[in-house]
Amino acid sequence: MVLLYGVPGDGPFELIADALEYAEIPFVTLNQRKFEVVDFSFQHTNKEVSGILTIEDNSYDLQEFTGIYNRAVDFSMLPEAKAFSPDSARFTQYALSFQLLNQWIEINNCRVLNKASAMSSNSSKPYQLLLIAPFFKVPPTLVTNNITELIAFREKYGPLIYKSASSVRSVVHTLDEINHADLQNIRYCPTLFQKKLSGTNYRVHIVGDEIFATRISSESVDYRYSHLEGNNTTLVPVELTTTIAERCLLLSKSLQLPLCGIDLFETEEGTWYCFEVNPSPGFSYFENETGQPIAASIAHYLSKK
Amino acid sequence: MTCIFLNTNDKAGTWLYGALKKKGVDNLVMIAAEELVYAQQFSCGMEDDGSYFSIRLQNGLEITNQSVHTTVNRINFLPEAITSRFKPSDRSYVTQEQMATFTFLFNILPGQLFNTSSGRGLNGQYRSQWEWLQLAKQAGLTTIEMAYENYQLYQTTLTEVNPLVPVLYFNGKCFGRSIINNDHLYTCCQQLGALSTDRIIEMYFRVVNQTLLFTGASTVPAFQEAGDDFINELKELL
Repeated sequence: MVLLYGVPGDGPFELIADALEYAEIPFVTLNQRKFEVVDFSFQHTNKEVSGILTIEDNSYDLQEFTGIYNRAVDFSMLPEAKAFSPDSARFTQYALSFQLLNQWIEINNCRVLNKASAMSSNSSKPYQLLLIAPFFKVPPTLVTNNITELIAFREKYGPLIYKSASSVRSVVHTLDEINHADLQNIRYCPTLFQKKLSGTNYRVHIVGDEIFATRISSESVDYRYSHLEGNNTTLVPVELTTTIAERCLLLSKSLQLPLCGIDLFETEEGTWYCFEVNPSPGFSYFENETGQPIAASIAHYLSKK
Repeated sequence: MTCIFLNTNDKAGTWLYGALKKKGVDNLVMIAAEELVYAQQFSCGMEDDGSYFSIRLQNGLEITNQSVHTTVNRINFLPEAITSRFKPSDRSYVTQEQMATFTFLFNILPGQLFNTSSGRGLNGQYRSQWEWLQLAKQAGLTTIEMAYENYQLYQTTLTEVNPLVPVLYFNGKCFGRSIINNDHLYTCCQQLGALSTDRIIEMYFRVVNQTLLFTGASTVPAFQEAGDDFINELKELL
């Protein structure tokens, strides 16, 4: 039995549900938005960890699950949760229930895509770069609140980009001009700058030991938002060289992320960089454009003990 | 220079500073989280030749990866006050950016005695009590029992008749009165320390029917039972 945990309607979530259904792999959906019909009990004794998950009228022994697809969102962010006051007893009850469910997933021995502890490396991009560096080159990176340091960094490396240092989604922008007035806010919030590289983006999805690589052609700095600039993005499935493929697998294992989306970049000189490893990749965009069977691979992975 | 990074009102961190001073450790400074967050100049990063940082505090002290050779990190949260400089809609973003920046900084500090940051916390790896109990069980310790049912948490009943017994784990060794002449407990605590992968943790036990039951652990020790042996161990590494 596979547990799909998150909010249905989300692209990757739906593709995996379809793939499980197609492969006739039994699964149950824990729709976070229907938290009022979810019940959860859990025990830790010196002999065992056990528990029951109840969704509507169906109860499941926690040991039944072979795999969990974890795309859960913060309970307080759910529209239905906003109907309760955060101080109310019911809000506290439901929030605690999800918190404990997440904690159970953390100590569970079945296959999980992915555990929150492993996903947390992405909460700090510069920290994650330290973990990536043994496997791929990473772009020169500066986090600063000091315009003089920024100018020196730009003189050393040429054009720069800036983006969020945390996992908050941000559009990657080029820093064309250093405008002192615009940069005043970095005084109180150190900001991440990186050398702007020229070359080609690749997105590599890893599922266990399977690799799905895609070459991305776009005129935009951030291909995810190319439509906003009137540009096109083309996705083409590709085979990576053995060396690069092996490094991707090693990186995924090192980060304990059996499912991940690795953002690679090949420079015009042929050097491979890694920008980031996404621990909860929105792979549906790539699967829908390229036909790569990523969801089927995930379904298969989760069905095995 | 040796730096102890700590939160304001961290009595155990201040005690540690005093204990090291008494042992004759010179060139030792305490730096509060506020001083880092409100630094006049703050830069950190990584280039082909490695990572670096350069911070000038409001009091004029400059700390860099070259001037600092050893560090102790006890900061496990950042002051929120700085976000008040931003409009309300930006505050959550600023908080997350600060956390991301300091997660990186606390990972690249030179000569870190304890504890390196991770994605799970600025100071070691934050774990739920369930996770600590699970690790403790793997390490061979007897633990309290816990359950969650009908939106209620239950655990082995503990009262004041069950005294708290801390054990400090640092650098592969254990410190505390309870482990003296108790080889089995020492080995299990050592094993739990290794499983945690953090350099320092403080484990907490309660005495129930003359048995020590593990209840949890922290990556920010209170040093309740850290005596001379621990300070000497630490001093040797400076």
